[in-house]
Amino acid sequence: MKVVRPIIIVILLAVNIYLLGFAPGRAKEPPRQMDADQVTVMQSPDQTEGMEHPDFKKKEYTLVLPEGTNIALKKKVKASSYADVYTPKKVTDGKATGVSYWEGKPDYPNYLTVDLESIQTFHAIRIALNPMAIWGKRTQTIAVQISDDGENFTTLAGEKQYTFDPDTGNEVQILFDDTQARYVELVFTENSGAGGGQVAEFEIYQK
Amino acid sequence: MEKGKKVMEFAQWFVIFALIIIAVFAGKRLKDRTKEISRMLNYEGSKLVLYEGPKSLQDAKPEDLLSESEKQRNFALLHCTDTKVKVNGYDCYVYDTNVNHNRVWYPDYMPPQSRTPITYFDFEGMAKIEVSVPAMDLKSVKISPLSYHIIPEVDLDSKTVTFTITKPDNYTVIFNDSPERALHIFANTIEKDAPTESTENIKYIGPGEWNIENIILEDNQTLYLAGGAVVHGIINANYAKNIKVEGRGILDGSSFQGWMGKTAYVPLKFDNCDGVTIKDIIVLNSNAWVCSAKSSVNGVIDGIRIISSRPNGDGITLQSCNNYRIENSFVRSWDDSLVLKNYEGSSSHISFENMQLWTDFAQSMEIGYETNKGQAEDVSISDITFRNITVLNNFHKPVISVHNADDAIIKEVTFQNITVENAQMGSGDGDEMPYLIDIHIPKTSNWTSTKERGTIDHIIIDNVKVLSGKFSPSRVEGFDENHKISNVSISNLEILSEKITGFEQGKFQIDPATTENIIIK
Repeated sequence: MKVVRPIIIVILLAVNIYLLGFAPGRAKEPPRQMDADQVTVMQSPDQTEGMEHPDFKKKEYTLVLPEGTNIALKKKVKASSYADVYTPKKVTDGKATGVSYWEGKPDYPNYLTVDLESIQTFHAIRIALNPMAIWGKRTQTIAVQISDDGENFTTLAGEKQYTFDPDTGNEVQILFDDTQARYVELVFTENSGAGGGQVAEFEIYQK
Repeated sequence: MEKGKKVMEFAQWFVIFALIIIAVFAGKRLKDRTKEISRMLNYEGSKLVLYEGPKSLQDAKPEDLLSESEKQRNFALLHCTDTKVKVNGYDCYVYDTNVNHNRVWYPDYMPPQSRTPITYFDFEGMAKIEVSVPAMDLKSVKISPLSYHIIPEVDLDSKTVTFTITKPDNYTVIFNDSPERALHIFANTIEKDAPTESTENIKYIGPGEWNIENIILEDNQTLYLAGGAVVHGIINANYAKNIKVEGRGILDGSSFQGWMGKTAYVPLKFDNCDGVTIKDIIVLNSNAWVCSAKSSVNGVIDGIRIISSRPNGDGITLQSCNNYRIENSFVRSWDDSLVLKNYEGSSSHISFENMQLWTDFAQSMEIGYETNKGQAEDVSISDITFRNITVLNNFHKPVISVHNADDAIIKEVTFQNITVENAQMGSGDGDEMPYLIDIHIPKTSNWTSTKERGTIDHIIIDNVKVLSGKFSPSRVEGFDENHKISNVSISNLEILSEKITGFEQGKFQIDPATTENIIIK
């Protein structure tokens, strides 16, 4: 028993030396600031105004209309179907923007027929969509037929896939030798941008 | 000798006792100190990414903050000057964007616009956020979502607010219990393997202010909008497959005039697409509705942030879409925040989860009104879930609404774990339908396309809590005995701390002639 108490005293002394001398030093306060190397600041380029982005620049495009006058303007138009409010009469109203366009239902083929009121001579057809950039590029497969009586049609231009791109006017021009007819009909069998055919303006040119 | 021994023994016991006492006190001190240290802000392991705003954005001047229509004042996205934010001691760029505090419809599409500050950064670990509003008459501060229970340190003299976050999420600082000048903080995770340049299939847009009117994505393309970028323009695709829009940057529509019922420049529009993913970007100042898809399938919208202020500025609107997952996003909008409709075919398998909404106008979570605008045969809206949704504010029309104004069948719709922090339904001209929950097949509607009406069947509303604001009524009313609302289960509804177990107690208006099996428990 003589040695027990001194041993206890030594152990307690050692514990106290640890608790008072070493342990507080080990309980370090965390850094009061962030390590600067853990902060990333993404820099912004020197600009004085919003700029056109070099990767998205568009080439300038100048629209050249076919020679002559659009004789389809304000003429009566009928369609085999139309979606929502996109009625056929909108394709000869002279407006290609906003909701002024025809759209067929997805019941191909869609027929869109303009009545020129009498037999006329013409040499070009222009099919236009809204030229604004919010209209994405699309393809439409179209054939052109003509008729004098509105019932018996013959093919003027066979079925072909055309590209409509707002970067190039969002239009297609079909040119041919002078042709005569009263009725001109577009036949749509495909549109990559909508459920049915779409036309904002259906123009027929006479020299 | 015996006496000397006893003295020695006593002295030894005394020393042992004294050492034990000292050790107990030292141990307690050490424990307290360790606790104190553990409570100290610990930046160890923290990382922070800050994004400079474009240098070309103008500083907001007092006249830019006036409540005026977009024609009467500068509507551009600006650099905020009256609200400063520091994160972990570093300055964080603050934008000043447009919001709309009006609760009435403006037929001329020109409501007065207000402004509010927003900021964003990425972090890991801990972020100590210091907000200073030197010009504000600061009285109180609240941090939403309230579920984080963040109690900020507020110094009313120096007009500063300090608080700490450890979880990347969207936080809103509300001053003086007012929606005015609320600060939206979008705290992101740190991106890994983010692109830094364009590749064959990635279109990369870096920091800076860019005018790109329209970006059209084609099959397998990704548009990456880097943090620090502001793009004035729109992004869309039609009939595309496997496309992605992501990044920390801002898509801004302030350079377009309001749509005024004519030309909508929808910032994110993906129609007839298969596999669209939209992640993280911030969308501000749209000229009409914001994030839209029609007849698209297999979509993911994850972590995007939307603030709209102009008429018809619906946040996320899906029409005739199937298999869509929308999650972790923030929507503050001046029209429906989340809305599902049918424009062509049916809608199904759509889930909204972990969303934060602030609905300045119209409804927070809306199905309808147009459920068969395309007048197709046998259309439906089914298997729809809204889960874990926090509505910070809902000012105008119902929070939860199913409106069948056409002849579709609406079935299997679940609203679960919905928290409304501030319910102010019925403000302004929203008084015609000031409901918390509105399940309705209307006799007439501005948005009807069919003569017939459909039905609404199997609606589950579970665990809806209204924390503050009004005790608003609710409505369940079908069309006629053949076009009913049936099998609606409402459970765990709590309004202003009151558990609602009866329809009368919950101020429900239920039409017995046009409904069946409506239960509350």
